[in-house]
Amino acid sequence: MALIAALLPDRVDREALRAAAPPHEVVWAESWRDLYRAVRRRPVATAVADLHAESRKDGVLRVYRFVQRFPLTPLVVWGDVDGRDLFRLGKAGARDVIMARDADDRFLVSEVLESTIAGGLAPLLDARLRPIVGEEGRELVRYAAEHIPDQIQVPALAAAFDMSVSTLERRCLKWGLPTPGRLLLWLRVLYGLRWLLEPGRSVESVSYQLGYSSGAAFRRAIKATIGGRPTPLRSERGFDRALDAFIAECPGDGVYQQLSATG
Amino acid sequence: MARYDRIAPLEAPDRENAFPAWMVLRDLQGRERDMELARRARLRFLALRPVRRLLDRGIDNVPVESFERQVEGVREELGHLSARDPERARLSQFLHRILERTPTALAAATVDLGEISEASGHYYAALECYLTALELARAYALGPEEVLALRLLGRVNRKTARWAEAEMYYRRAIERALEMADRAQWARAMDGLGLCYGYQGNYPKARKIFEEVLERGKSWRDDYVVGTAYSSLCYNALTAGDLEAAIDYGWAALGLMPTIEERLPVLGNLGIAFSQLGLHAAAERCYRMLAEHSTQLIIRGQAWSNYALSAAEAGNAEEFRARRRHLLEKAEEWRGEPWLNSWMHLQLGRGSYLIGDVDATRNHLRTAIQLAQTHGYNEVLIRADELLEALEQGLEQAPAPVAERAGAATKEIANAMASFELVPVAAGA
Repeated sequence: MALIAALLPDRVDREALRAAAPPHEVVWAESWRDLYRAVRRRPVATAVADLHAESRKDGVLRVYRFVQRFPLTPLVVWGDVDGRDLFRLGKAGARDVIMARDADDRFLVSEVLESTIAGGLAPLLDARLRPIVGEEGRELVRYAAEHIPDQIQVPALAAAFDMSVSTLERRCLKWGLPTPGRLLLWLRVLYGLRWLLEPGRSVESVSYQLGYSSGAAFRRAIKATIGGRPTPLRSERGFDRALDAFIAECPGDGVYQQLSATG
Repeated sequence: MARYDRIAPLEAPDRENAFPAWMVLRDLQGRERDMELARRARLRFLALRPVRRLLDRGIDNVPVESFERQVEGVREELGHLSARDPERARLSQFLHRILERTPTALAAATVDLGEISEASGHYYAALECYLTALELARAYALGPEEVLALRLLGRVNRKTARWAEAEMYYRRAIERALEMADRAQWARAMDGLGLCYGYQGNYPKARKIFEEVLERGKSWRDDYVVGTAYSSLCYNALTAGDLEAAIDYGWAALGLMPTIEERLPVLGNLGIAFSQLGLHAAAERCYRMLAEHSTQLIIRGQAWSNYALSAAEAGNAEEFRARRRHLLEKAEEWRGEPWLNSWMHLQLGRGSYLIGDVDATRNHLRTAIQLAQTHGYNEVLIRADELLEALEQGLEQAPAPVAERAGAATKEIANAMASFELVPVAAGA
């Protein structure tokens, strides 16, 4: 279950989002400042904001500032947007738009939310694994990464691929991936570290969002994967180091490995 | 809202980093306050979004009811365009076609939407539509649609002087057309590639490509391919300044092109060549046929403007004035097309200058300059500026009309043009 932070002053809009959001949880903000606070305090998977939430303010400029401050949190804009503002929203970095007239179509709203929640870590991992892991293995990692905000566990992962847990374990071995449990552990750590890159986030809030009972449990997960504590890893470089360590644990299936030209 | 827009100076994102279909709006770059364009761009964006949705989610994964509702929502907004605006009807057709939800219908409709935008000079919108059509074609293994999208991507990149991209798309279109044995698309892609070189001033390389098309067309005994080669050679000769050769090739192409639509561009080139050789009657016949038969507003308006100018070039002042009046009455039809209006005023300015109507010259050129400045039409701006400067510097003496200076064979073709009728060539002829 992912967390969505939403700034929608209109009651009807709130109802529409509430209908489309499940299984994800929504936290409501009353103003842009409140939205910042919500995103800082808890690692939200996506934010949703009404472009006209505050009258006589340039909503697009608010979007731009949000994206500058939280570049890893996708922002979906909601509302009746004219052509000029649609153009400006693209430049400001909005991840997607839900037009006011589509807002009560819960299928459409849900699709937009799912696609923004699924973005982020999954494509990044896919690109890094591409040279060493085949399509089937990457599909598993992609699916698992997309469902980390939903707190996915090994049995659910196996079920999603129509396999038993033991079959999934054998497949992971064949595809050159860590065991399913270890894979999910790694993905939680990577997700957590990525969330920690944004300002104001605490280890406790990230741990809770990943399904851990306490900050200590997340720290133990880091120790078991990368080694050390989370604090030194709270930078782009630290995150890259963690990603490299994960890739090093994936021997790959050899399908894409090039023959070395050693003669 | 603040008067200073902090978003305006920001770099536009790449297509991959923007939300789906955003690139359709990129034609607003530098023209953010053009409300007419903003309305148009928004409608194109809204119209393309359901297609992107089907493409991104998979056709079967989008509930029919939700999709139809989304499309109907866009249809309700078409009222933002004037009832007489031709784009309104085309967008309505587009929405009707995508309701079919078949890959072929989606790809074909998306290509059409791109062509509407391209015809209005909105190249980013066209680019986005063609890229979407290409993705659809690849996702659903639609060979002919893939070739078409690749060729059109080559064309729109060529028009925006992105030569490397244009060449890449044309070469891929050529390759895929050959694999699929689609000779017509192969010839058209080769034509585009040749034009790409021609536009960069490399006429010999362009000519070599057109000659290759001609040779292959003859060996295949394929009239369409041969006709396309002649049409390209006509254009190449025209831009290289060899007007009589252009007329020779163009005339040959006219007899081979199977449809009226495919003959129209040849007529446009022939009109220019005749006009520059002083063969005004033939030029006017070409312009008139083009104006009467083209389905594209831009082409029609351009042809009527050239037709009016031709009277002045022939030295027929009264006829020019009559055509000018007629053209200004017709101009309401393209009120929403600033480029066409700027072109019309430029041509009327030139015509008025030629017949010595100083006030009319000044008025038309000033209007052309104003439109060109507002919308960034550099070519019109330069031409209108030059002419206005000449006028203001006292060169009020109109130059003499262009005299006939063609050879006998060309004059014979010009005479034949007088009785030429645009009827489709029978299949297999």
